[in-house]
Amino acid sequence: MKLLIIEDEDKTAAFLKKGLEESGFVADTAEDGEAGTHLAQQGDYDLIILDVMLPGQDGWSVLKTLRLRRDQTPVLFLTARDSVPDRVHGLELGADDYLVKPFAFSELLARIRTILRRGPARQPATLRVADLEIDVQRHKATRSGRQIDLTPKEFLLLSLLVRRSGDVLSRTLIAEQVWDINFDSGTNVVDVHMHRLRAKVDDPFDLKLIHTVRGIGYVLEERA
Amino acid sequence: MVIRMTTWYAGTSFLLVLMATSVLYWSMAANMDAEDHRVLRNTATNLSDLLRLSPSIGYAKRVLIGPSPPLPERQFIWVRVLMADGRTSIETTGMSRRLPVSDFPALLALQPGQELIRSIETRSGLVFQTLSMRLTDQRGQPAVLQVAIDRTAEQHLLMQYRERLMAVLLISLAICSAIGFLIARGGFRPVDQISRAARDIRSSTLHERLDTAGLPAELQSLAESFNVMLARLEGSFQQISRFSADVAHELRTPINNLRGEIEVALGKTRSEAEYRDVLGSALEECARIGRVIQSLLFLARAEMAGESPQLEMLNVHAEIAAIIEFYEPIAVAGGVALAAQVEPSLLAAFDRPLFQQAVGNLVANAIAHTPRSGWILVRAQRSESSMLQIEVVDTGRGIARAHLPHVFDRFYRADRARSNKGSNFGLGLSIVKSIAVLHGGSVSIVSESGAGTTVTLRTPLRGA
Repeated sequence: MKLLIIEDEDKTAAFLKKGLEESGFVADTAEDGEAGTHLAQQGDYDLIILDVMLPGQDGWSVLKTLRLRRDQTPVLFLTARDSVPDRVHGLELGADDYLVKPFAFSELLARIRTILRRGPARQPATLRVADLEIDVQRHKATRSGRQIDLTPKEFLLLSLLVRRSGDVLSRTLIAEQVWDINFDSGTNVVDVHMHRLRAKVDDPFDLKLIHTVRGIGYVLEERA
Repeated sequence: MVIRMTTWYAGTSFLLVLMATSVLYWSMAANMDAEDHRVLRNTATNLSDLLRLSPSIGYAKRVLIGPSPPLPERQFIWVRVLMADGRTSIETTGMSRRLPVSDFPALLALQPGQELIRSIETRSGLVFQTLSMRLTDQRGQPAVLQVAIDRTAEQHLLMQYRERLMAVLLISLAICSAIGFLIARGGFRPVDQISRAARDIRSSTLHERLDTAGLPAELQSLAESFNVMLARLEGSFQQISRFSADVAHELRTPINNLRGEIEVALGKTRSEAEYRDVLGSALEECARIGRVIQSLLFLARAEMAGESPQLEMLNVHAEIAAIIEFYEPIAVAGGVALAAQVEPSLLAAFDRPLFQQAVGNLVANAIAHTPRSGWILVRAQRSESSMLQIEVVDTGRGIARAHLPHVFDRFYRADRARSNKGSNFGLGLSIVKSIAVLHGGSVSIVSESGAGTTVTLRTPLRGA
């Protein structure tokens, strides 16, 4: 998948490009609005990451220009200003999502993946990672055939991890998706929930599936 | 303003003096008129009787005009009798020169019982008032009697009087204006002083105050209000600079940690795992700093007027239940019981993420401050029919009275030793307060060292 990053801050553009390329994307960068619009027209991008604060032609006008040209490429914009009017403005202009700086890269990745995944949401009835099996309909989880006793929220948490297996999920995202908690509650709370989940899902088994990635979050995957 | 006051003052006093003098003048003139009228009438009545009863024309002449022709200049009352054919029968000497019959064409047409009163100014500038009437003369024949009084001197007097009054009016207008101006200017001097003092105040001189001694009572309260405002401004400025210093100070520690950590790690070649570890830790610290910045931005924005929350109707029971469920594991880990008591079917308008943050912060605080086997209760109910009241009660360590007034200040941490254990850098309660205020409500705290704490959040329900 091809991404376009329109960002004037060198370091930001650099780590975004690096991170996204290492996550399996092809990433091009543009330093300002004009270059960005130009590239967007020429190339065929799957998603554009747009910094709102650009020298010269600002992010909003780039977005407006794109949409006026009937370019429906999904846009995720980055803003340092978290005011509601700014957010609404961006979404009204035709952006698909936004992130406030400073943001966690994992957060960006998660949102990019969500945007790109949009479409008829087909959820398979059963999700499987290694010997862990989740029956989405019946809310049952088993490992090596043994049933795991989970509370509804614990099941939700586990399904989230399994569905996004391989993606490192931030604590904020987990809190949002599982408990619908929409503020940054600090590290502790989610950690304790994960600890409980691990006790049920990982501890009784040899193969550990839930991994902590220091500073970023949690990931469920099979690791040798 | 001084000009305006002076104009009003001068105008009003001028009007008053004008009214007074006018009244006096007109009443005097009216009196004179009435008096003249009376004399005229009485004289006419008397003379008409005398004429009728006179035995002869000579007699009549004598009684009407007087024994010998007097000095015409001193004559006050002039008398004339006309016969039916128009010829003058009796006339005061010199009358025909001053008041010729030809000037009174209507005389002969007078009917019995009819009277004719006229005011005349002759060509020579004399003023008369005449009364003419029909009567019967000494022979019993129809005749016309005309009596005139000389009002010249009188009118002259009145004119002089008018002129003097004009002069008085103008002089008094001038004096009133001058005095009024001086009074107004003097009155406004303290206001001037206050304006000048106000103009000179800037952020570096906010400690100065206006001198209220010697000011008139009305302006004293103005000056005092001004001083109160200055004190508040000074307080705010101090708070802001203290805040900036606090921010710098607070962020310095984690950033120093970061630097130190990374510097040390780079000090020698390490294993991949070690590097990973350091980077992870550095990332965590960055995330913390990021959160502090977010919180500060939120607090700053919440303070700006016009910032309005995005209200939704929330089912208070459901929201609190969700928050309790979220925090339950840490409560359990801390050996503390966490429960909720919410009035059923309670709906309130609130910004949802902010609601979660406010209640979440209070619950997290309570958990952090309550030792094992304690409990925490989140209570929500309708209060005073229009307010939402949420209380977070704990049986924790409590807060000493000395700290209570400051707990909602930014960066304030009652227990200095615990400083960076909390993830909020001491901003948690400030944020709760900001959220409350943003929704038009308030937050209060009751606590005693060793006897637990209750934090009460009150906001308008807003039409549930």
